[in-house]
Amino acid sequence: MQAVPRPHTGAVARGVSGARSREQRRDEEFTDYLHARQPALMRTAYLLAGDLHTAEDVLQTALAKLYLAWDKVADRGATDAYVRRIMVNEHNSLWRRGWKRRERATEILPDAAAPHQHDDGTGDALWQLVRSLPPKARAVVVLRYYEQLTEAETADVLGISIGTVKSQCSRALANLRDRAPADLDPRTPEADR
Amino acid sequence: MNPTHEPHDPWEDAVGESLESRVRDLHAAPLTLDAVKGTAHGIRRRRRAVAAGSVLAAAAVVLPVAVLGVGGLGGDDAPAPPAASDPAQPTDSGSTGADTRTLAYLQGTTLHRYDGSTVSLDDRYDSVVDLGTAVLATKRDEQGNLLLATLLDGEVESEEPVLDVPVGNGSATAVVVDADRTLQVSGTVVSTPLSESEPTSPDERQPVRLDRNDYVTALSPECAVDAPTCPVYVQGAESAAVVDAFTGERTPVPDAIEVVDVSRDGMAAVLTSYEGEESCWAVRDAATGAEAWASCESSLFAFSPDSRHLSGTHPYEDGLGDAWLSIIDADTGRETARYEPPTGAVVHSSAWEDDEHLLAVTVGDDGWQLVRVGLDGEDEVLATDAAAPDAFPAPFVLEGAS
Repeated sequence: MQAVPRPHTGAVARGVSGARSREQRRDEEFTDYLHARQPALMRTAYLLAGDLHTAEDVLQTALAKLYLAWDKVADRGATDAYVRRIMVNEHNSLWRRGWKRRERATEILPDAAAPHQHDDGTGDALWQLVRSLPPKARAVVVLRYYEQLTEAETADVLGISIGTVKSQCSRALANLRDRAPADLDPRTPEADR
Repeated sequence: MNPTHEPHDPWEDAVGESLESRVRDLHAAPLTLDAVKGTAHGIRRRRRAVAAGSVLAAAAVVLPVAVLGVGGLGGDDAPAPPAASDPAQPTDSGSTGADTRTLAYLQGTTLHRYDGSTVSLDDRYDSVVDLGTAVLATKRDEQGNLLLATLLDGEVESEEPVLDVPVGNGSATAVVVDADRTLQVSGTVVSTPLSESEPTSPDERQPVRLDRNDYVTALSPECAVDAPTCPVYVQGAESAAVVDAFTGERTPVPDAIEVVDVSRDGMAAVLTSYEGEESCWAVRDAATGAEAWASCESSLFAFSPDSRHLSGTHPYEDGLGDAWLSIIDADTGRETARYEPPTGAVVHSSAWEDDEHLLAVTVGDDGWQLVRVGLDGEDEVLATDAAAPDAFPAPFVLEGAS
C-alpha cells in the first residue's frame, strides 16, 4: 500500500528561483501526491473514523501537517506512514474530546461508503463490530488487516512496541469472536451459517 | 492476509475482507490543494501563537480588574447566572457543606466512597458519582447501550438507559440525560441552598429536554436539588450554552466551544478554539464573562475544590493518553508543577481528591497505577493492576474524571 509520490515533472524550473520556486515545486509535488493517494488515504481515514464527515476532518488535518513537513517527509519515502500516524493520533484525539464524541454520536450524514453490492450482509455485520471497537484497537485492526502492514510497521505508525501490537491484535480479534453471532464466525462451515 | 508467520487465524481474513468490502466503492477525493494549504496556514499560525502563549498569559493576569463588567459569559441581553459565593468568606451553604468531601472511585468491583468506606459491588462500572445517600454508576449492556444504575448500599436500586455518563459537581449533585434527552437532577439535600432565594418546588418544575446536538460538559456547583436554579453547561451545535435544568432557560456562552468546569468561586474554564494539534483555553468569570487569563499552552481539566488550582495537560490530547498532568495556578494560568508518569506510561484520567491532591490513573505496558499527586507534582503510588492497557472499564475509575 505504500506509495512514493510521483517525481516532480520539472515544470516550475523555468527560470523561477528562490522561495516562490520552492513553494511552486512543493505545491506541484503535493498536488501529484493528492491525486495519487487521496482516495486510498480517505478509505483508511473512513475505516479509522467510522463516518465520512470525521474521516474528511481527520484527513484534512493530516494532509495539512504533511504539507507543512513536505520537504522533510517526502524525501524519506515514508509519506504514507507519516500521514497514517497523524490520522490515527488525530482521530484518537477527536474521540477523547467529548465535544467531538458528541458530534459523531448525533450526526446524520449520507454514508457514501455503503457495503459493496456483492456483500451478502456478513461483511457489513462484521464492520459494525469492528466499528464498535475502541479507537486504539480499531486502529491496530485497520492497519494490520486492511492496510496489511507488518507488526513492525504497525508499531511504528502507532508509536508502540511490537509486543503491544501483537497483544492488541489478539485482544481485538478475541473481542470480535466473543461478540459475533455464530453465522459470522468464519470457522463455521458455510452450509451451517 | 497474514503478514507474518504466526498461526493463521481465519478471523484475520474475515476482518480484512469486511474492511476491504466496506470501502471498495469509496473513491472520494474531497480535498483540494487550496483546502489543505488553508488548514496548514491555520496550523502554522496557531503554532506561533503557542510559542507566544506564555507572554500572553502573563499579561492577562492584570486584565480581570480592568475588564470586569464588560460583557458576560451569558451575553449582554441574557440574564446572568446566580452570583457565586464570595470565595474569601466562609459560607454555610448546603453545597459547600461538602467541602470536606474527598473523591469516590472504583477499583474493580470495589467502590471507595468519599467518606472512606468501601462497598463491594456485583458488577463493574465505567463511571461513578457518589451522592452521599446513593451512588450513580454507568455500564454498557451487550448491545452497547449505556445503563445508569442507582446503587444504595452497593445494591442496584434501579437501572435505566441514559445517553451519557452522569456529570457531578463535587457537591452531592449530578445531572443525567435520560433516553428522552430530559435532564434529570439527582442529589442529596445537605442543608440550605446557596442562594437566599426561595427554592423552586420540584413539583413546579417542568421537564427540560436538551436539543439533539447538546452534550453536557459541566454542572455548576450552585446546582442542588433544592436550589432555585441548576445551571448545566452544554456544548451545542454551534457553541456552548448554559441551560437551567429547572426552568429550561437557555443562555449562549459567547466565544466558547465548551465549558469544561466551573469553580466554587464562580470561575469557568473554557475551551475557546481547537483545531489540529492546538487548543486554546480561557478562565472567565462565569457570571460576567470577564476573562482572567487565556492560554494555548495547556488543555484544562478541572478546578481544585478550593478553586485555587486547575488540572490540565498539553494542548494536544492524543488517544494514547496524556504525557503529563499539569497543576496550574487558577488565578494566573501559570503551570506551577507537573507530574510525569514513568517512561512508557501515560496519564489515563485524573480528578481532584482534595484541595492539595489529585488522583491520577496511569497506564503503560506494565499495567495500571492509581497515583496520588501533590501540588508540587510529587506522586505516591496507591495501587497497581496488571490489566491490559486497553482494558475497559479501566481498573480504576475516578469520580468526575477528566
